Parts: sequence; C-alpha cells; structure tokens
Amino acid sequence: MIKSILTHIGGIEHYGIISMCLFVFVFVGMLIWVFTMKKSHLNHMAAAPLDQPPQELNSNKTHA
Amino acid sequence: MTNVETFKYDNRVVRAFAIATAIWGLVGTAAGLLIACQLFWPDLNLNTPFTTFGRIRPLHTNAVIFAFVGNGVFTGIYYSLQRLCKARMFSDALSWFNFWGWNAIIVAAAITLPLGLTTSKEYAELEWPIDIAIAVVWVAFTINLLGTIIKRREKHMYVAIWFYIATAITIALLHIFNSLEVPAGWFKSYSVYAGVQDALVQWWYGHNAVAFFLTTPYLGLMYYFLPKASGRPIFSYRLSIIHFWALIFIYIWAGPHHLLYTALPDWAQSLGMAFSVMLIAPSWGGLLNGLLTLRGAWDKVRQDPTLKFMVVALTAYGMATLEGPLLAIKSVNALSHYTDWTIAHVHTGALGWNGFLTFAMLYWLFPRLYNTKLFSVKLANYHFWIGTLAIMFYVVPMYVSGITQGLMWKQFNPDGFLTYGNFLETVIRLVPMYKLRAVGGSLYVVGIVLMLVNLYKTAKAGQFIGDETVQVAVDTTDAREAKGHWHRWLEGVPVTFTVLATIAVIIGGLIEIIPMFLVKENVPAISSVKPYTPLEVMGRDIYIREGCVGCHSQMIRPFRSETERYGEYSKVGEFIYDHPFLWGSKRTGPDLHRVGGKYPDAWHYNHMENPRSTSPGSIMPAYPWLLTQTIETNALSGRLSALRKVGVPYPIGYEKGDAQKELAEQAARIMQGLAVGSITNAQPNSEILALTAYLQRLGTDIKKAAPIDTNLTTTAALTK
Repeated sequence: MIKSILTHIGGIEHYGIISMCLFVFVFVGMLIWVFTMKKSHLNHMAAAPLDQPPQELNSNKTHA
Repeated sequence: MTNVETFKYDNRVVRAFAIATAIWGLVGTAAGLLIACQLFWPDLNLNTPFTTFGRIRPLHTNAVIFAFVGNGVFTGIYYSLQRLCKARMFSDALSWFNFWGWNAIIVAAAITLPLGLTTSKEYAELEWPIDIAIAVVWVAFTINLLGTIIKRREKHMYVAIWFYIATAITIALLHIFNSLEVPAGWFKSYSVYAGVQDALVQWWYGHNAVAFFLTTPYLGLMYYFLPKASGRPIFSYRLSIIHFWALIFIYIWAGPHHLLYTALPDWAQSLGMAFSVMLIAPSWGGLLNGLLTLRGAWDKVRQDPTLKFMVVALTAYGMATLEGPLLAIKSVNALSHYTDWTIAHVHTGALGWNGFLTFAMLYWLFPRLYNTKLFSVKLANYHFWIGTLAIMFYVVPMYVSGITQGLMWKQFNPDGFLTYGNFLETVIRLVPMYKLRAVGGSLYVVGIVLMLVNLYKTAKAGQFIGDETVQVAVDTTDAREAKGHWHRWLEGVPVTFTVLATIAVIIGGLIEIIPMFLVKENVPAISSVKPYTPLEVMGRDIYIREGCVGCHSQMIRPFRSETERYGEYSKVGEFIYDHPFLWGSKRTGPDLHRVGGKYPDAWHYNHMENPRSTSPGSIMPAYPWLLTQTIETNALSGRLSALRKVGVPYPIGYEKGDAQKELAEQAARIMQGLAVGSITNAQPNSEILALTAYLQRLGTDIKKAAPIDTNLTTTAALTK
C-alpha cells in the first residue's frame, strides 16, 4: 500500500526546488543560532574532553 | 547545588574492542594484500572457489569497514562516551552483547563470503540471517549509547556525542532499508527492489555508509582524542557545531553521485552533484578545526607519534573530502568512474583517515588502559613512517592506473575507431601499477604488525585497570531549568536532539527515495524484455556467488567511446527483472551488459576453464569448478517462488511444473552449442551451462524489440 501511495505522488518536478529551499533554510537558521551562542559556553564546551573529574582516584594515571 | 558521586568506568569492554580492532586490522589489510597480488599474479587465486578475487574482495572490504573500523568505532565510543558523560555505560550486559554479537557477525562474514553466500550489493553483501543479527546488535548498541547519555552527570553533550548519535540512528536506517529482501533459502535472498530502484537504494546506502560509518563516528573520535592527545581544547567549538549540522544535513543528499550518466532522472544526478560539491565546506571546516587545535602544540607533534598519526589522518581526510566532490562532478566522473581512480580515492580515506586515526587512538589508549608508558615510541615512529610511505605507494600508482585506463578507454584514432579496441590492452598496461600498489599494501601490513608487537609489549609491561574508579562533583540543576541559549536546552534533552538529528538526515533521503518509486512509471516500456529463464536464473545466481560484479559492470554509459566498444547504451527498462541490480562500480574487466551473443558458447567454456587460453595476458581467475559442479536444481523452486514475491511475473505453479523441464531443455541446447565448438566432454547439468545461458542472454532482449522510446534524460550525453 505504501508503495502504491508513493508511486502516485505528483509534483516530482518541484522536488529539486523544495530540497534547495530546505537546505538554505536549515543552513541559514543554523548559522544564526551558532553566532548568537555565548562565548563562555563555547569555551567551556571546547575544553570538555580535557575536563577530568578533579578527585580521580587513579591519580597516578596519565590522563590529561 | 553539587553532590560528589563515586562510580567506575568500564575499561574491560574498551580493551576487548581495542584488541579486536588491532587484530581485524591485520586480517582486513592482509586480505586486501592478497587480492592486490591476485591482480598481477592470477595463480594466487589458488584455483579454489573460496580464494578467488571475486569472493575475497568483499571479505576484504567487510573486514576493513565493519571489523577493523567498526571495532575501532566501538573502542573509541565506549571509552570517550563514559568520560564525556561522566557515567559508566548504561548496561554492561548490552556492552558485552554488542562486543560478542558484532564480532560473531564478522566471523559469520568471514565464513559465508568465501563460501559465495552473498547478496552482491557492495558493503551489504551479507545474507539475510546475518542482516537480522546486525540490526539486533546495532539496536543494542544504540540503546546502550542513548541510555548512557540519558543518565549522564555532565549537563551538556559535547559535539563528539552528537556525531555518535547521528551514526547510530542513520546506520540503522540505512541498513534496514537497503537490506529489504525476500529469502529463497537459508543463505539466499533477492532484493525487493529491482534494477534502477535497487541501484538507487544501494548507493543511497553505500554513500551514506561511508558518511555515517567511516566518517561521522571518526569525526566524533577526532573531536575527543585530538584534544586529549594534544592537551589543547578544540580550536573552535562554534565551528564544530556548524561542521556537525552541515555535514549530516548535506551528506545524505549526495548518494546519486555514484550513478552519474545512468538512467537516474537528471535532476537527481544534478542534485547529488551539487550537494557533493557543497560537502567541501563542512568537511574542510572540520579538517581545519582539527589542525588548528594543534596551534601551539606543534612541538608535541614532532615528539609524539600519536599526534603524527592524527595529523596525517586529518590531512588524508582533507584530501579525500576535496577529491570526493571533484569526482562527483559529472565531467570528471565520466573519466574516473569504473577505474582505479576510485580505488585510490577510497584508500586515501581508509588507509589514511580511518587507519591512521585508529592507530593514533590505540597508541594513546593502551598505555592508559594498562597504566604504563608505551613500550617503544621509536617503534611507533617506524610504524608512522612505514605507514605513510605505504599510503603513497598505494595511492600514487592507483591514480596513474586510473587516469591511464580512463583515457585509454576513450581514445579514438584519426579514422574514428577506438585506439585500444581490445579491452585487455588497457589492462595489461596497468599491471606494473598493480605491482607497485602491492608494495604499498605490504608496507602497510608490516606497519600493523609492528603496532601489534608494540601494543602487546605495552600490555605485558603494565597492569590493566578493568574498573576505573572516579569521583565526580555533580551539578544537580536540571539542564531544562537552566536559563540559557535554546540550543543548550536542546543538548540537555538527548531524545529531542536525537529526533531532530534523525529528521535532518532523513529529509535528504526521503526526497530522493520517493522519486525512486516513481521512476518505475518513468521507465520506457520495452515489450521484449522478459524474465530470465530458469537456467538463466541459476546462472545469474552463480554470477552473484562468484562475485563477478566486483570486476565487471553491466551499465554501458551513453558515451560514444562506450557504445563503440560495447554496443547500445543501457536502458533503464532492461533491468526491471534484475533482483538485485548488477551494474557494478569497477571495470577491472570489460562491461558485460551486451556480452550476450558476442562469443560462441564454447568460448565461454574455455574462458572459464582458463581465461588465458582465450585471452592471453588476462588477469581473470580461472573457474574450473564450474565445469564439474552441478546446478542446484533442487533450489530452483524456492528461487522462482521468491522472485515472484519480489515482483517477477512467473506464472503461479511454474516452479513446480514446466520450470525444471525448460531448464533441462535449455541446458541441452547449450550442450549442443558447445559441441559445435568441439567441446564434447561437457558434463550435463554442470554450472557452466547455466552461467553460459545467463551470459548469452545479457543485453539481448532489446535486439528483438520494436523501436522503443529512447527519450531518456541521458540521451544528450551521447554527443559527448
């Protein structure tokens, strides 16, 4: 049934335009959002892999 | 408000995956070396069915992708996820189910592929029971991943985790939709899609398997292990966010670039090409983000082999992700497709990006898992230089080989004839390049052996910490309550994040897949194209079993250089009964779509027994067992029945009635054909009869046809 529905969808010629619009919309939205993020948060996250638990018991280990 | 909590990281499962990664790395590359040598030394096919190129090549690709890189992905994720979430894995039972399940699947692949049990769809060759097992294990991994993220003690999800989530979700989708097939026995199935639809789904899968199995999880690992190894925070977290969303959103659209100049609608080809070119931006954003993370740490790069491996890995990523979009441009693809250029491209990625990042991770991880220092930094440096040379020796000859062959295929003399009309002439020129490539492969394997020794000695010298105890000060403020940027809220809600990431990756797929079903209506009807006869079905299954598709395409592109060489270009309507499609992606041998009727039956008999007897200098393996093994006629009924279920219009009851009789009659006719060619000792019911029947049928249907509507989108390309 699903195949039958899919097979009879019209408007195939618009798919290219729809996809391009979607792309532009998503991409621009993402850029706006990214450039409005707070610097302090970005800096905190950038160092996340380095952020080890302070009281690590295996303190002789070489984790950064 | 903060509380201090004590818990343990699970290092045991990380160690198990790490050991599996190292061992499968050796197995996968050694298999690659074997098939590389077979291409200039056909005797290395060993004259047994189980060791021929066609069967070992998928073993190599599966071993490298799913065994080596797959275990590498799990190693890195299981290690980094626990630390980034400040939590033990959600379930130890699921962790171990993931480990044993995944590696059992790999063992199953290593057994079934040499036995010729294959669907023939690239990187999805495993048969249906194994496909189900893959889905089950992958779901277990995804539950474990999301469960750990949900119970994390860290408020925000670091970007590496986003890459892991995108990987888990997308691979599940790709695997399930590409593996829809109807069983015709325990280890035989037919794809539910046929011809062009099967090709589109397969390359939507194939392209995105590269994206979401070989790229996104490794980018996650890069974002974790690069700061770790260099001691530097990531250069720009903002850039990493753009990298993530842009990459997962764009990648999924680019699949059609594998099908340029085929019968795919032109808009889809152009869309695939445009998005492929756009991919340069996020890929290079990620590359630069990685390399710039090393700002101020380049002195460490000189000292530390781990960082050296990472720098070359990133560089290889950059090269492969620039080259990929260029190869997706139609005019470049016209030259590169089906040649060794593609092989060079994928090996820049596999050997450089995946291989070197995995080695870096293992060299960094083993001393930490065993609480000691690396056994020998010098040995690791040797590995680095041998490995780098190996990549050069592999990739450069393949570029030379690919471009040489691509140009030779298209070369016309002043009289308007093909300069190299005999395909074999273009192959023989490449043999020196194949030998050089094997030197590169050998060096790469030697490097891995050095690494295994180094890691083993490191493990022996240290003491393994299975459960690593840690105490963490936990901020108990709910992320959802924290007032801040809405994306920070989004990160705090992993389920919502997962849903949005899924939508991002699905959109491209849906918009391209829906028309795939529509394509069926756009296929110009070719009334003379009929289903394969029972004997041809059995022959086609032998063609699939022996992996012929690994070296022979069945898709003549609409170029004069191809129609002169092979005949009329391939029409989409000719493949409507092809479950699965067998268009192929590489021409180590010539295209076979119009091979039907080109040679007498006896030629095929002699050629399969010893290719060098009919084609001196050929590098094709011999298939002498086809002359003695008998056709599995008792499997015919199940196969015809399964083919009917996927849409081939065999009459109901045909398999129990006339099918066997017709098979025997056609086999007798082939026997007569062989006798005409002075082959009187052919065995009745031998497999060569079925294969010959199939090959003689290929591409002949339209020759019987009334004029067809050739108003295809690709006709314009004929003028090229």
